Amino acid sequence: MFIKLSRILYLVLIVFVASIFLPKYYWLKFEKNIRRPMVYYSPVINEFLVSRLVGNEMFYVDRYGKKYDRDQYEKLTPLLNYRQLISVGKLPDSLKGEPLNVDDIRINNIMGKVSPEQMDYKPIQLFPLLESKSGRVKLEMPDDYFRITNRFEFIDCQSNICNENKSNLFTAALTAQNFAFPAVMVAGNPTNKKAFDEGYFVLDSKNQLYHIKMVKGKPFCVNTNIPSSLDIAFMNISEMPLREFYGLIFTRQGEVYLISYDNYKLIKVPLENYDIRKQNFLMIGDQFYRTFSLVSATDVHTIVTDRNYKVVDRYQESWLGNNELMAGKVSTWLFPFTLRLNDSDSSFANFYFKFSGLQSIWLTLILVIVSYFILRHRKISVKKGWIDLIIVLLSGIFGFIAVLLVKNIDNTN
Amino acid sequence: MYKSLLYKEWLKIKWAFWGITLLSLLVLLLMMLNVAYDMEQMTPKGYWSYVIQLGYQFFTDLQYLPVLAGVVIAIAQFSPEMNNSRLKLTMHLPVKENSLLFQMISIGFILLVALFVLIAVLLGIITGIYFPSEVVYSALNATFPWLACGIAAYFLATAIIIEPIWSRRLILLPFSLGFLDLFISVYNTHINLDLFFLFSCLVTSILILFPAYHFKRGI
Repeated sequence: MFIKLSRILYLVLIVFVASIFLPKYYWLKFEKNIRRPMVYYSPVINEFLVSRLVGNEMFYVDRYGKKYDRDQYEKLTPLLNYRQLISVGKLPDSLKGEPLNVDDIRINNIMGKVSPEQMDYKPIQLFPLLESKSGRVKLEMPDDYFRITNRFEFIDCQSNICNENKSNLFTAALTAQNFAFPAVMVAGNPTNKKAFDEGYFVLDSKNQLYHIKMVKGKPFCVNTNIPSSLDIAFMNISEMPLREFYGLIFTRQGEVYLISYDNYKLIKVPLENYDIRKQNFLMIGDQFYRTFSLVSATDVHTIVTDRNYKVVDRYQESWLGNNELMAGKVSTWLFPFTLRLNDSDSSFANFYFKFSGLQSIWLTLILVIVSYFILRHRKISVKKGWIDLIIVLLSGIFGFIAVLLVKNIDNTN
Repeated sequence: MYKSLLYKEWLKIKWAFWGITLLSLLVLLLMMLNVAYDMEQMTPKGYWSYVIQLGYQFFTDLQYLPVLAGVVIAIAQFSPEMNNSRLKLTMHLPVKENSLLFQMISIGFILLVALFVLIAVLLGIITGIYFPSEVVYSALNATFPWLACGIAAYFLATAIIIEPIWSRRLILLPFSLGFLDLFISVYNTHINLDLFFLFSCLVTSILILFPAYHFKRGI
C-alpha cells in the first residue's frame, strides 16, 4: 500500500516538475519579443501617433497608416520632445495660439505609470516621514521610520527604539482628527529625490482617507473627506511641480481618480473597462492634453482628454500575443496545462495554473494509448496499471514522461 | 528498540550535524558582522532605506545552507548503509521494514527541524537587534521556503542514496533538483505557496519507500 503510494508520488513529482520546467524551456526557445506600441497624441495635427519598430527601424504611424519618421514625429509632438527641438533650434514659438515657453512646457509635462504588479505588492509597512518645510532646497531623509498600528509610532534607525515624544505628538494629532487606528493603506512617495514633499495619504480602518505630513516638526493631518464608499485598491502619490493633483486613486472596480489640490476634490478619469489586474495604466500630460492608455499584452486602449478631463479622442489597437502565434498554438496542442510560480501581472510567487484548451486532448489520447502498450510490453495488466493511464489522461505529455521514466520500476509491481 | 536505533543513527550523523550546525552559526555571525558593518558605512538610515524600501536581503548567505544541511545529513546517515549493503542487515531487525525506515528518517528529520528552528530564531534575534518587527517578519517569511527546502532535500537525497540502480538515481536526480529549485528561487511568496512548500516537504518523506523496496528486493 505505502509502496504504491510512494510510486504514485514519484509520478506526481515528475509531472509537477515537468509541468513547470518543460513549458518554461519551451518558451525560452520560442518566445518572441512583441513590442507594445506607444500611443502619443500630436497637439499639432490633433491626431494619434503610434510607435512601430520593424527590425531596428523605429517609425510612427497615424490611424490612417501614414508613416512618419523620427524628425517628423518630434515636430508633431513638440511638447514631449521640446529639449531635442530646442537643441536643433526648431521649437515653434507658439502652439494653438498660445506662446510656448520652456518653463511652462517643463512644468506641464507629466507622466505616470502603474502596472498590475505594483497593485498587489505590499511593501514592508515602515515609511520615512520627511520634513516638508525644512527651509532647505534639498529634501533630507529622516532618522526614523513610522508605522501606523494601534497608534502612530516612529522608530529611530540608530537605536531601533520608538521615539515616544514624536509618536505621542502624531498619535494625538491623528486622534484629534478622529483617525481610526490602525491604518489599512499608506501611500506616499518615500524618496528625497523630488522637488518637494507632500507626505502620505493614509486610509484608516473606517475607510476614511487622511493626508498626513510633517511641517516644521509638527504633524499636519487632514481628513480629505473622500467618500468612504470608494473601494480603493491602490494609490499612486507623486509630487509634481504642476501641483494640480497629489496622485491617483485606483479602485477595485477599475475607476481612476485624481486627488486634486483643490481641497482634495476627486476628478474622475473617463476610462472604461479598466481591469487593474491585467492592464498597465499609462498617463502622459502636456500643456493642452492628457493621454491615458490601458495596455495589456495584446491590446491598447487610449483616450485623450483636454485639461478639464473631457474626452477629445479615442484610439484602440490589438495585436497578436505569443499565445496566438504559431509557438503558442503548438504549445496548446503539446501541453494540456502549464504551471508557473510567477506571473508578470502579480508581485506574488503563487500557483498560476493555465489550462491549454480542449485541443490538447488529442495528443493526450494518443499518449494514453501508447502508455497502454508500454504497460502491456512491461506485462502489467490494466487492472494493475490503471493509475498510470489516469495520470497520463490527466496530465498528458507530463504524465507520459513520468510513466515512461519509471518503466524499470514498473516491472517490480 | 527505537532507542538503540536512535543511538545507532546518532553515531552516524553526529559529526555531520555538529559540523553543519557550526557552519550555520558561522554564517549567521558573518551576516551579523556584515549588517553591523553596512550600518556603520551607510549610516543607519541609509541602510534601513536600502533594506525597507529597496528590499535588500541581507540574509541571502542562508539561502543554500538548509539544502546543504539536508544533503549532508542524508549522506552521513545513509551512505554508510549502502557500503556492503549494510541496510540489508538493518532491515532484518524484527521491526516492519517501512516503519523501521520511517524511524530512521525521523531522526534526521528531527535534527534538521531543530537546526532550522535554531537558524530561524537566531535570524529573528539578529534582525530584531537592528530592525523593527516588520523587517524581522519579512526576513523570516523570505527564509521559510529555503528551510522547507532543506527538509525536502534530506528526503530526496535519502531516496537517491538508497536507490540501488544508478540509472534510476539519474532519473530522480534532475527532477529532485528542479523541485528544490522551486523552493529556493521564489521571492515574495503567497501564503498558499508557503503552505504548499510545508506540505510537500513533509510528503517527500514517503518517496523513500519506493527505492527502499527496490533495495530490499535487490532490483
